[in-house]
Amino acid sequence: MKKYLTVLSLSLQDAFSERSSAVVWAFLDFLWPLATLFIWLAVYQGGQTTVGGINLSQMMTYYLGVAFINAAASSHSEWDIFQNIHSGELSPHLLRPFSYFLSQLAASISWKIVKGLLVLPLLIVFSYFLRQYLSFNLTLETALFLVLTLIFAYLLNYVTSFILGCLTFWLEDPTNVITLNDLFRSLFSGAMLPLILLPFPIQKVAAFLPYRYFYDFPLRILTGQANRPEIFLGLAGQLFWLICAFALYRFVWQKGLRAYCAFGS
Amino acid sequence: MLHHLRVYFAALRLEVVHRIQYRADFIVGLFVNVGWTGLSLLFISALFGNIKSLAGWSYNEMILVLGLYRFADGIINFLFYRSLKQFSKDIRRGNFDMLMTKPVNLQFFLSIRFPALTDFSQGLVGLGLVFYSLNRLQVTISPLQFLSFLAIFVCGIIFHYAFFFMITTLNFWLVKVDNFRQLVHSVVALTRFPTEAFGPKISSFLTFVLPLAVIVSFPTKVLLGRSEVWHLPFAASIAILSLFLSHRLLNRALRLYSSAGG
Repeated sequence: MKKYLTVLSLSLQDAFSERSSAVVWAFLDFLWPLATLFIWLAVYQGGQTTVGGINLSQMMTYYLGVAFINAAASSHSEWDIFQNIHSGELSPHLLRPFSYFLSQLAASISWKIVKGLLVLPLLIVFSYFLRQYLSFNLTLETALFLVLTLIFAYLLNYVTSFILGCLTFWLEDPTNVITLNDLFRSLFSGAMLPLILLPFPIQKVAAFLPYRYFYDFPLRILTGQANRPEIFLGLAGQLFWLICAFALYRFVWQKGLRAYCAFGS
Repeated sequence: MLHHLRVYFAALRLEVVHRIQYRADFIVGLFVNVGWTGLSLLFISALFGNIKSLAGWSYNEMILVLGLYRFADGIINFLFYRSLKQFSKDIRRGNFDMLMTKPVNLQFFLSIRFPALTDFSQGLVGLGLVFYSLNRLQVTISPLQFLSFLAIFVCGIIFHYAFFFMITTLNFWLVKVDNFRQLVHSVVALTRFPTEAFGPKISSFLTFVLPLAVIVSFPTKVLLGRSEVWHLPFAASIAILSLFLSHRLLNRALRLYSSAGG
């Protein structure tokens, strides 16, 4: 345990030394949700009172929520892992007395902390300037559930990004596959549009995929649309997908290491 | 000039050979490009679920803007994206010295050495959308209109390239930043919507402060017969100024780089 705390401490120092990149990532987390927010504002100011049953206040809150979840629950570890495997820099990691999976998780958490220090003031500023449009519906109980669901969403994101990074064991450049995953996530998670506004067949597919647990489900809790049974069911769904993702990571990692070592020898 | 063209076509030949070797990856890349365009179309369709016009733009006009954005972005990505990504890496990893010894204009070489065929296909999808929407709008374009469009569109491409190049050059000062290209891509992606869609204040900002409007909104207005007299001279000035600034910025950065090397 002590060695992982040391790893976390070193990762934090590393992340702080790269805070300029963190500034750019924080800006990017906000850019598109805010841009989309302003486009929807133009739609409602054109005379619409509701779109798909969603009023202006709910729509504004939704997209500010997307920006918040971008910062809180996203993971971009696939790029570091791709780089490490591609360049052979993975080898020294394999010799160390701690798991590469957990050391990458420590790095990811460190980035999140550094980015969080930048994102929090931004979030407060934007919430203040947009306060007339916003409507949160959180009790203490639902706030706690929201924190839990965001932790699960982040872990699911991290394990998925680790698996995607591991594709580098077999593909020279998994960029297109990673981008394909980003595309599916944008569509099926509710990040681009509330799922209720998508064509019905797409909504049906989204219900069976894990992506909706990244944005749609936490946002339903944030805006007070999810009741208790739905919250418990959603948390169970997140856990289910987390277990599946973890099992897949173990399988991919073992297979990948064999391919990596065979190539090296 | 001829020498530079030869260098460029050599780079293009290498890219074609590489893409033929990795066909599956090329096909996935095509699918991804079509997918992102599809996603944007879905978003626009959702916006227009119950309205006829958004900030004075109709559904088909928004499709035209999207198509022109994808076409312009496809051209930029095909010509410059991978090269400038590598430029950024070379600065951050200190591999720059070799590049400075090449017998070709440095800014040119840095900008074109890795063309990207997959992104060319993105441009074709965008062009397809442009023709589709122009057909739906039943717009007739006069020769003069077409020439104006071409002139402003080229100015937009030049500004887009110069903006991308300048942001990448910042790596000389901010060596640790490895995500400038994502920054440029995301900021320019705002042009997939007409600037008026973001409201009057942001629209003014995107026209006069960070003139992204020159890239897509201005040329679209020419096609729709809604262009204003000052658009072309403004776009030309922005293109020339930004290209000049990109060159000056590189020279300044190289002076800094050389002095660090001793």
